[in-house]
Amino acid sequence: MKILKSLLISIFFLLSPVSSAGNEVNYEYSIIAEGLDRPWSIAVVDDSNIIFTELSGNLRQIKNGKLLDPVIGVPEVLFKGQGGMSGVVLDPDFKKNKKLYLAFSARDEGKRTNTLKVISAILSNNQLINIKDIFKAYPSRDTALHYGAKMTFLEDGTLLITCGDGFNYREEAQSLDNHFGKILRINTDGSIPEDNPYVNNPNALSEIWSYGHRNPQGILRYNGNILGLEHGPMGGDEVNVIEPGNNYGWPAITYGRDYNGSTISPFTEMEGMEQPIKYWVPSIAPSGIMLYDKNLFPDWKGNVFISSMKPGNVRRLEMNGTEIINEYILFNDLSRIRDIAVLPNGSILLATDGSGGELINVQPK
Amino acid sequence: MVKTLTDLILSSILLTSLVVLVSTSSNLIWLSSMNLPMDFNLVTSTFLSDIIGIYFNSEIPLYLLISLPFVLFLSITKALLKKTLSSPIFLYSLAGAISMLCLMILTPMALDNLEPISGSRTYIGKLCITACGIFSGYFFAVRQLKINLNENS
Repeated sequence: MKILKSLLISIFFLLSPVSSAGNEVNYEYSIIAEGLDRPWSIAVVDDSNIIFTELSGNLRQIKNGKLLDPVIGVPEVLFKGQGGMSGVVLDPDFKKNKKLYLAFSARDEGKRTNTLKVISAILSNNQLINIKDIFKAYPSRDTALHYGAKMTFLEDGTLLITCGDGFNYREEAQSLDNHFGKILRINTDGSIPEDNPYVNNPNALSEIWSYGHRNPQGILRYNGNILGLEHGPMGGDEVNVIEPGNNYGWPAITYGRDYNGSTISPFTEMEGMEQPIKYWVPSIAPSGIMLYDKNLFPDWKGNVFISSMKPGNVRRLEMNGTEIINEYILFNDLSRIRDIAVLPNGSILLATDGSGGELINVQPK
Repeated sequence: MVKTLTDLILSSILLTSLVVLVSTSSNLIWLSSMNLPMDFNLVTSTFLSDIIGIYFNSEIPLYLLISLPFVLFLSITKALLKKTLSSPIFLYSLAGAISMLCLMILTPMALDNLEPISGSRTYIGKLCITACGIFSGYFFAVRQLKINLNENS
């Protein structure tokens, strides 16, 4: 009986697509900030200067290795549900111009609705100045879920913003007359690039870059491609290669089910709708994505890392172009991981989720 | 007592199944409008899959969310009927309707406007789910009347 059991376990691990083999790298953790209030998104300036958001409405800095008080002058956010101060990204010239971009949920003045907003601002002496609204999602919503609210820059200096479907509005992800379930592309002054895919379509909003998304919680520039990380329903988390004008299918096609157990769609593929390069059933609740392009962990160079909250670990994806060859689980002795980033020195930075969250540095042992 | 309990359980199962039917129908109608191919087998298997899914494969116990207010309102009605001569069929049907209206109004209020029943996101959906409450209340009333008739004869 014992032999049979061992045999079955061995077969399971041999057949399992997710492996802990190939993880023979020794590493150790060091906590660089703790007692944080729902750290959500990390932007790295250099090895000892890090900027991050707390969902409760704060923008914070680690300056020369020391955690500062929250940055002042930050716009008021709607801190409710999944809403709050979410995404932060640095201007490509941040070291010169100290400019950054914040994505957050904001209440509509005098109304019960709210929306996703993006601002640009200058960070000066732990204070935000020259704040400019550069994007406001249309239409507003009455839910406080599925904002997306992650950003990245394209090589041409335009900004990609992810916008979730607002939970109750999932079908809107298939319509081009709104921002629900879209990835958007704008210039840093808020204007719309002339070469956006729907700029000449009178029935579409010109900011739209791609559509059919649920809650894209990560977006990454990767070797000339854009990878979008889709936080799916119960099952159906995805990694997609984002191309302008493409439809990623939500909710017409999906590998997931509704949290209440019902079908969202019995279809997983449809002509004209893109397939993910990777999907997870059951869910891993992905939250952040990064490319490891440093040398400190040489075995991991060129891999894509995805932070996940269910049960709380990091997925290391070995890539061949945009094909995922292997998947390994890392850092599964921590709690839910909300975001992941790499420092210039090659160490990895993790943000653990929730009140009492931490920023944890991972380096070789 | 056992018979009443059985009727409550059966009526709750009926109600949950009908609510699932409404949600699944609205979902499939939308998918059909997106030119996704529908056929009888797909519709039937989706209904069955949803009914099984709601009981055995859910992270949100929707069957409890639907059944609890329904059972509560039917129980209150049963107590009221001992003190009033109103028609049980009317009162149980009304109780079923009110329980669903309460569910559809109070749940989003408690969950930051989140609608856990996808079929209730439109006015037509809300109307259909209220009708499910009426029908399930009616079903319970009819069964209760049968019990009373058997006991009296």
